[in-house]
Formats: sequence, structure tokens, C-alpha cells
Amino acid sequence: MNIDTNVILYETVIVKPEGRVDAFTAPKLRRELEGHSELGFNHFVIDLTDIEFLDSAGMAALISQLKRSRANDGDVKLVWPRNEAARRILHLTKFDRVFDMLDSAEVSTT
Amino acid sequence: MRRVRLAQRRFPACFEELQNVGEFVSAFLHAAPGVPDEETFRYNMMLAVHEVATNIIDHAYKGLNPGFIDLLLKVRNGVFSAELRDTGHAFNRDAILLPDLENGQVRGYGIYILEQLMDDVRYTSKSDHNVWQLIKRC
Repeated sequence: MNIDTNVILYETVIVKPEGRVDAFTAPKLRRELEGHSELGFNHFVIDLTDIEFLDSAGMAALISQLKRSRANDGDVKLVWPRNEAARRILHLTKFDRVFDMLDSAEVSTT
Repeated sequence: MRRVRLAQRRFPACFEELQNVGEFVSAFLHAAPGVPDEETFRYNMMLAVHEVATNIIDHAYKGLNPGFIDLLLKVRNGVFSAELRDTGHAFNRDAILLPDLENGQVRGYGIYILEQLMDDVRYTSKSDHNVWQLIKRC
């Protein structure tokens, strides 16, 4: 019997913005993510634990990276924010269905 | 503590001012009578006003000299309202598609979030200014 096994190892980039992720600060997050993509990384965990505020511009940056990663056979997972109001907005916009959601960044590395 | 029912302030229409806009809304809601004393309610109202302010900065003043956003906040008879006035280009609501929530898309979440969080969203364009009115029954 032949068994052919391919073990594919990849590195996951964990990005953890803090504070506000909004129209003013989102470009910085976007550049950070794009920079890693240009280096060939396609698997990301974006840890939203400590964000205080997230608007549609911040969400657009997350979606952009998701689409970029998946186009290159990668993925983006999000860690739930501690801020309950921000969590509700992610649920309202069904981000918790579009993204794989994690309770912590540590889970992603096991 | 003084109970506030109305507050008004002018902000430069630039992204750097968005945090100040949010803090202004939050401080008003902390002091206003008849408003739920809940962090989630304040966050949602801050976010709604923030999305409109961002829309004004992004679209109304696009290609124009930087303008201002006149923000008027009111609580009356258990109703919170926010009015944002600008002197930029008129906004075409019909040009904005609702986001594909099941698959995610880059644009369109701002208006969707705004219309989900508020009970009523009105937009009026006059010859020399535009007005957004956001209404939420407390």
C-alpha cells in the first residue's frame, strides 16, 4: 500500500491592533497587513482583544485582507474584542460568519 | 450634575477629528436625561454619528477645500437625535449597495450599520448645505 502524505507548514502572522480602528487609523492597519502579504504571508490572526472602537473603515481593512489571503489559499481569523459593544457590531454585520472567530490568539497556534 | 438636553459644536471635516466627534457624543449622552445609562447604547450612538461624519469627510468634501461638520445633539421626550450639517457635495444614497453580509465586501457597511442602529435616518440636500438627521427612541 502506498500512502502519500504531504505536510504543509505555514506561518501565521498575528497582528494585534489596539485602541481605535477607524477611518483615521485603518490605513495604518491596512499597510501593516499588506506589507506581510507582499512578503508572502497569507495566514493571519487579527487579534481584536484590545480594540476600543471599530468602524466600517476598520472592517473594510479586515475584509480586504481576508479576500487577499483567500485568493492566495490563505485565511484570516479574528479574535473577538473584549469590548462587548464592538462584539455586537461584528455580529450585526455577520462578520462572525464571514470570518473564523477565535476566543484568543493562543488557540490559533495549537 | 447639570442635565444637558442640547449640545452643538462645529468640527473640522477631517479624519483626525473623528475621535473628538465620538467623545462629544459620549459626553452628551452621559449627561443627558432620559438616555439609557448603558455603554453599548453610547457606543452605538457614537458609531452612528461617526459613520455619518466619515461619509461627509470621504464624500461630501471630496475634491473641495476642507470644510466643517456642524453637529447638533438633542434629547427630547425620550428621543435622541443627531443632526450633521455640511456644505459639500450631495450624497447619493441610491448609489450605495447594501453589503453582501454572507460573503463580506469591502464597501457599504457604513450606511448599513447606520440604518441598523438608528430608528430613522433622514438626509436632505439643499442648494448650499446638506443635513443628516439620525433619530433613536430611548
